[in-house]
Order: sequence, then C-alpha cells, then structure tokens
Amino acid sequence: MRAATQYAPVSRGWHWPRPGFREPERYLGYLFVLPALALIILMRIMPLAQGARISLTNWDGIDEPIYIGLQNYQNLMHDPVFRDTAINTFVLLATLPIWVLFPLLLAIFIHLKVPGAGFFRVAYFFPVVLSSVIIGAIFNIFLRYDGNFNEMLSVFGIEAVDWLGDGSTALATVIVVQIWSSFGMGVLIFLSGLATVPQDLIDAAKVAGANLAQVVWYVVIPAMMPIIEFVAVVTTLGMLTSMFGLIYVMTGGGPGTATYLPEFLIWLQQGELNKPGYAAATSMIVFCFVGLLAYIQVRFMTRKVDL
Amino acid sequence: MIETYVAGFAVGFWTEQDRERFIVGEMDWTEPQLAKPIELWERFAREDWFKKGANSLETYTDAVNEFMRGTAAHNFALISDAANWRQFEDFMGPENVGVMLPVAVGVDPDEQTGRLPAGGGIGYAVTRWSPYQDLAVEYLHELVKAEHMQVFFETAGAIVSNKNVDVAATNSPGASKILGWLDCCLEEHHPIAFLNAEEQQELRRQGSLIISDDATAEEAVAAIQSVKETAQEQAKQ
Repeated sequence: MRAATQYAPVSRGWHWPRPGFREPERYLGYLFVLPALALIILMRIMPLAQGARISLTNWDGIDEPIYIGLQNYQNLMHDPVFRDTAINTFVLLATLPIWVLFPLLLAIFIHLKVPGAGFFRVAYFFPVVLSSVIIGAIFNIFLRYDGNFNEMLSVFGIEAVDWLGDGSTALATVIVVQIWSSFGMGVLIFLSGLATVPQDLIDAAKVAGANLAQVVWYVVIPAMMPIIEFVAVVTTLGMLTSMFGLIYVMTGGGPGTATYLPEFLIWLQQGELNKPGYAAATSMIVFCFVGLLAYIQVRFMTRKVDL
Repeated sequence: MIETYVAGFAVGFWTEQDRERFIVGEMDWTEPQLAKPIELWERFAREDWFKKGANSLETYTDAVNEFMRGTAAHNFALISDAANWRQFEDFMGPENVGVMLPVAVGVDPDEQTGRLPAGGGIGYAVTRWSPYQDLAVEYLHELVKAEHMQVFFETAGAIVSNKNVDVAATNSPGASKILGWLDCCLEEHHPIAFLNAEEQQELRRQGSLIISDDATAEEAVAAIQSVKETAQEQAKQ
C-alpha cells in the first residue's frame, strides 16, 4: 500500500507519451521478422501440422478422411517392409564415417598441394552439379551385369557380380554411388576449413619433427573438428533426404526390399498404394528420427565449441 | 514383371469361377492357380532361363535398356518399341509386310479359336468427381467415331477398334487383315488388374527376390498371402 502511494505519481508523470510511441523501433523489429516468420509458418509449420493430422486418418486422397487415431502407426510397427526400410536406414547411417573421412582425406591432400591439386579440386566437385537421375543412368550402364565395370574386373580374373541385382551388394553399391556423387561438396567445405588452420602450427609441428601422418592427426584434425562435425550433420540429413532419385533410377528399391530407404518407402505408400494417411505416418516417424539425430549432433557440436 | 507372367497364366488357364473368386479376393496365394506360376518362375530362375542382370532395375527400364542396346527385341510382355504396319510399309513396301495371328499349338493356321489371347489399346475413363461428366462422355463418343478413327488409322498406323473405318483407302493388305481379325483371340480383362496395390507390390518384390535367389517360391507365396491377409484385415478396420 505504501509502495503504491510512493511510486504511482512518479511513473505516471515520467512515462508520457507511452513507451510504444517513444520507441517505435522496438515494434519495427517485429515487422522485419514478420515476412520470415510468415514464410516459416506457411511453408513449414502448417504443412507439418497438416501432415500430422493426415497421419491420424485413413484417406484415399479423394473422399473425406476417416479419423482412426494411431492405427497407422500401429500398422507400421507390424509392417515388414517398414522394418526392412528401418534396417537399411541404420546400415546407411553406419557408413557415415566413410562419407565424412573420405572427402576430409582428399581435401587434406589437395591442401598439402599434391601434384595436380588444382585439377582434382575441380574434378572432385564435378559430380555434385549432376542430377541424381543422370548419375543413376550412367552407373546403371557402368555397373550392369554385362557392363563396363564387370568387364574391367574380368581382366583381373574377377568373376562378374550383379551389383544392383544382388540383394547382398545392391545397398552398398547405391551408397558408394551416392558418396561418389556428393563427396565433392565435403571436399570444398573441408578445403575452406583447412585454409583457417594456422600455418605456424603446422610449421611448428614439422620443426618439432612430426611426420605427415602426425601433422594430420595431431594438428590438422583437432583444428578442423567443428567443420568435421558440421559436415557430419549435413551429410546425415542428406543421406536421409536426398537418395530417392538414385534409388528410383538404379534399383527401384529392389531386389525385394534391399534398397528401400525412408523417402522411397513414403513415395511407394503415397504414390502406389494411394494411402496418404499411412505415408504421412511414416513421414512423421522419419521427421522425428531425423530431428532427433540432428538435435543430438548439434548438441554434440555446441558442447565441443564451448570447450 | 512377374505380375504380367502370372496374368498370362490367369488368362490362359483359369476357369470363369477362378476369375470371379480372384476378383472378389477369395482366392488365396497358396492355391495352385496362383502358387503354380510362382513355382515355375522359381524353376525358370534356377535353370537360368532369365538373362543375368535383368533383375537389376525396374522391369520397364530393364526392357528399354535391352532394346536400346539391341540385345533383345522382346521381354516379358513388352515388345521393343517396334514400328507398326504403317512405318514398316513406308520403308519395306506394303507387299513385303506380313501379319500373323497370335501363337497357337496344333491349330490350323487360319483357325481363329484356341489361340493365345491378344489385347491392347487405349482405355478411357471419366472421374467420379468430374463436374462435367456428360461433356466428357460426349467427347469420348466423338473421339471414337469412324471418321476420326480413320485419321488415327491412316496417319498414325493405329489399329482401331471401330470396324467402320475405310480400309481400302490405305491400300495395305496387312492392315486390312488385322482389322478383319479384330474379333479373334480377345482376352477377358486381366484378372490381375483387380489385384490390390499391396499384393501387387509384394508380388513384384518376391518375384525379384526369387530371381536373385533370396527367396523360394514357397516363401514368396507365404509372404504375399500374409500381405493379402493384412490388407484385408486393415480394410475392415
């Protein structure tokens, strides 16, 4: 009571005109954010919410959707095709170190100015600009049973393998082709990262008697850690969201379910089975899984940076 | 392409009763009408009837690749993008282009019964939700009129189902013969067209697994049957 009588007259007198009128820039700030916010809500949040809503329905895409609760999710848990796709996804994720270390190694070689470094820098990046359909078509010809690759192997007395038609090699083959088509981007990012590794550190290590392997292991890689982690996050997301074209063109998911990955499965459920609700349920699971992976990786990165 | 293969069996060997039971979903994959073709498919694969490597891609892409490379002129149910009578006649002369009835075993060459069925063509449909259904139907009636089919027949070389087209105008012995045979060897609608999407997908997957020796016919039949049962259960929910 006492406080009120003390402060009320003071604040009334001093804050006129009201704060909003005196500091319009505070509100102007919201105005600047508005377009970006509107786009995110319109293009990301709303479709996501719509997807979540559809995933709770049984829908043929034409008639009114019928609400069925979590039935789609329950059905997915018992769907052997979904199970196979999940296993393939984990196999794919287990290859992450290759996806990251391969371009890192090549970038280090280029950075250390191996002969022809300028040429390799361009050559490695070249596949990145090709569309996955074109890459798939090229490798179909190259890898087919009576194709060039098997012909080349026969020179060394190695028997022909049906790389894409054999369940035991198909997924690995598609992964190798995807690595080939995308590692150039990693090389580019690592090269720009390597440019920031202080030269005097490398020189000091050399003076101290370190050989090339030691310089790379004890100086270059620790200095590059944040970049390596960044590439790991981006690559993981890329693995789960950008292999559809290649699978569609190269294997059609086969043989059996050998090369089914989440995107391809969602497309089959939506496009061939005409079950938007079921496809949406799969999408929501994939979304949560990718979100969780990205969250863990980003947390890991920020923890390192804080150190 | 296993579904086309099974469809061939369905057309050739099933009774009318089999067809009806299949269409309403009462035929199980374990029954010989469906299991037998898959068993044979496995036997073909084990005895190397299939060209190695043909399983690596979607069947259609496979076939097209074979055609482009000139290593095959036909695959299961797909004939290479072969020229039609009109294109052949253009460069060979009408008198050098022959036509034949579908394959038959032990049947008189001119006999039109007892032959393998042949089919094909363009299908039209009007969507249920179309606001102008009458207009669409009217358009289709217009489209298949003899005078319009005549153009399609003469310029594109299509064999049209409207028998009122004027064959004399083309001066093609081959085309007139085929038009005269239009009633021969007709097939019923492929029963496989009534297969639901889930079973069809599983059939394809199992077909490819059998070729790559990752599944036996027995396992394939069991897997498709299980998909069928699950789909039927879910449809009831």
